[in-house]
Amino acid sequence: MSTLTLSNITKSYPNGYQAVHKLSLNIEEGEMVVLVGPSGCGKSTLLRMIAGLEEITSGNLKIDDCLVNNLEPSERDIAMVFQNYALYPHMSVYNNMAYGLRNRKTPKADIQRIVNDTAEMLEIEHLLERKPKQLSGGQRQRVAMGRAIVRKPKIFLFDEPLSNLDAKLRVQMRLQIKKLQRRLATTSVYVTHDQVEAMTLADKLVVLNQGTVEQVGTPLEIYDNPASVFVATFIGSPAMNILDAKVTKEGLQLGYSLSPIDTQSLKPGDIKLGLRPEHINIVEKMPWFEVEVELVESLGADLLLYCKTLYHKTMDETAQSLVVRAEGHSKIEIGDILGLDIDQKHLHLFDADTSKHINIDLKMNSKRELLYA
Amino acid sequence: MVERRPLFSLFCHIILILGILSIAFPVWVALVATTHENTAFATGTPLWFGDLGFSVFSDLLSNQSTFNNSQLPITQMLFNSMVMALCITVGKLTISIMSAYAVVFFRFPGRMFAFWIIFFTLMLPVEVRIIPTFEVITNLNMLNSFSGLTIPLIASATATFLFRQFFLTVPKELFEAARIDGAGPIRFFIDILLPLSRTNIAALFVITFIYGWNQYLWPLLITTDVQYYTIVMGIKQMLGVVDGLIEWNKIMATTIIAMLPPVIVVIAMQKAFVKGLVDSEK
Ligand SMILES: Nc1ncnc2c1ncn2[C@@H]1O[C@H](COP(=O)(O)OP(=O)(O)OP(=O)(O)O)[C@@H](O)[C@H]1O
Ligand SMILES: [Mg+2]
Repeated sequence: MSTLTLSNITKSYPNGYQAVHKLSLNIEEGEMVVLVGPSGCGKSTLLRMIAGLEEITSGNLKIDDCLVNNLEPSERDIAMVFQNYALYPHMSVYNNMAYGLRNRKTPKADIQRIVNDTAEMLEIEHLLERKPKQLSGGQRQRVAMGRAIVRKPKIFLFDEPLSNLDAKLRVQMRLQIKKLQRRLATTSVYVTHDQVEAMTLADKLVVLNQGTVEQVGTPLEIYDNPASVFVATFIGSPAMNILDAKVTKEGLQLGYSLSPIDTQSLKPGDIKLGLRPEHINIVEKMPWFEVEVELVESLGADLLLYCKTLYHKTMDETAQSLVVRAEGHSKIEIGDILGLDIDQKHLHLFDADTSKHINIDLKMNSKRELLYA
Repeated sequence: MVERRPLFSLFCHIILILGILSIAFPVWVALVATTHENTAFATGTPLWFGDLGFSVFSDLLSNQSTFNNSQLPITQMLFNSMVMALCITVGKLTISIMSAYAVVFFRFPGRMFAFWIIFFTLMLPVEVRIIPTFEVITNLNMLNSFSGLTIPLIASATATFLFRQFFLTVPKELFEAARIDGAGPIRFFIDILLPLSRTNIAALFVITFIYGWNQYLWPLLITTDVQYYTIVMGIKQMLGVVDGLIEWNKIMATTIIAMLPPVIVVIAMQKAFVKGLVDSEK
């Protein structure tokens, strides 16, 4: 078990592109950290710097308080699982797993024992004689994991290891990775752009955006308290709805609707509202605002309603789209007008300019009833 | 072809048979000629076997026969050809696979410069630079030696290119996985890259071996000592009679013998690369 400390890590590629800016991160012993972010945000770059495959332009990288910036990958005692598995095509599964051990001059008998034990754990012992091309995607994936595990490294690194698998297998392998990681209790860094994978696997979730850390926390912390619009829309599926609104003395104004929320502590002007589709309630009476249903998607357990807000043509407003999650058997059709409301504890406010979360306790305005009088 | 019309396949077969005939006919003539007395050639080219059987071959190989005035030892020439072809092949493959490895897998100052220099030599085959090369070899006192026969022909841009092209298709993650597994550049080269290149090596071996074996102009220029004659150029010397008859039957027999090693190499290696193609592992 090992700790991993990144301080002010920067990466500039030779062409001048800065992929990672002054990134700092602490990873505790035995922790599963998931790096998540959109394509091109520098996840792989960061992981490859930890692995030692990519030079660190500036900053310090420490494993167990030992500076490893200039160590070769093999000297860092890490193991990596690649997206395309990178199994040695001409070697049998056994040799693929044994190769790293042989290079470390492990005695032959030990190699045999370790490889066989690991194969058993991964349920691939019947495949040891095969070549990688004679394996299915999921089996290859497990061999790649096996190759990482046999070395008993200080840190596991995973770069989107499941993205080449079909949806069902991905769920299975996700569970297996989680179980293995628990069992081996090895510090792990896992890169993915799939937020479901990120939520389910992570002890600690790191949301990256354009080479910087946007937010760090447990998956639930991040889901409940996204630090910015970026995180809010990235974590959670379907994504959080972000609507433009105005703060007025009377409350929050969305289109022509006025929400009965106490806005005393907010500065008047533009603001962004964040509403998760699953937190929006469809109400008969006293809605906060009304929408027209444009499209209905049935997922079985849930209905996803793609709606647009109603607005007065006379006012200088445009319709805004949002998604609402409703109960699977609700009788709702395209063209219906729905009244919506949201519990204020689930309402997120973001600064209109900086897109950062505004942390205040929202209170219901005592004038709520009056508004609808 | 998807086409399965009988006329079309008849047409295809005719073309193929014509091709085979035009290639096989000279070989046939050579083979037939070895079974005739030398006098038979005065009246024309025989097209069917004579009555000598293999005696011309056994004569040739046993008593190192003389061709009119000059002494041309067949076994010595075969040996020379073999040494030359093998040295060129092994040298070419070694150098080109290593330079392609350097150019593809490493970043170092002057990499592109080295690459372009190699690219440039592609435009200068042996025949074009033969006079200056001859000059260099003379000054180095390498006339009449195996080093003189082989070294100038070893440098090869073509093979370097073929390997480079192949290495570019090897996923770079393999290299990285090996680095993490504790394999340095040399281990990676030996344990992973070479086994993956098997098919390419086999194919290039065949091509280069034949190229080396069939060298004519270069050995002709730099060898004056019979001891270093290669078989391909030796055949030409056999024709150079001052007086008397050209010994066609012996010459044809030598030709047949000279053809055998390349044929054997092709057949032996063909297995290797057909196998490589069938269970291509990528
Ligand atoms: N060798 C390179 N030279 C220059 N720029 C590069 C290089 N490799 C990556 N980049 C750039 O760095 C940025 C981050 O790349 P990276 O591969 O880390 O993205 P990622 O977060 O892993 O994306 P994905 O989810 O698509 O894998 C990208 O904008 C990419 O274009
Ligand atoms: Mg990536």
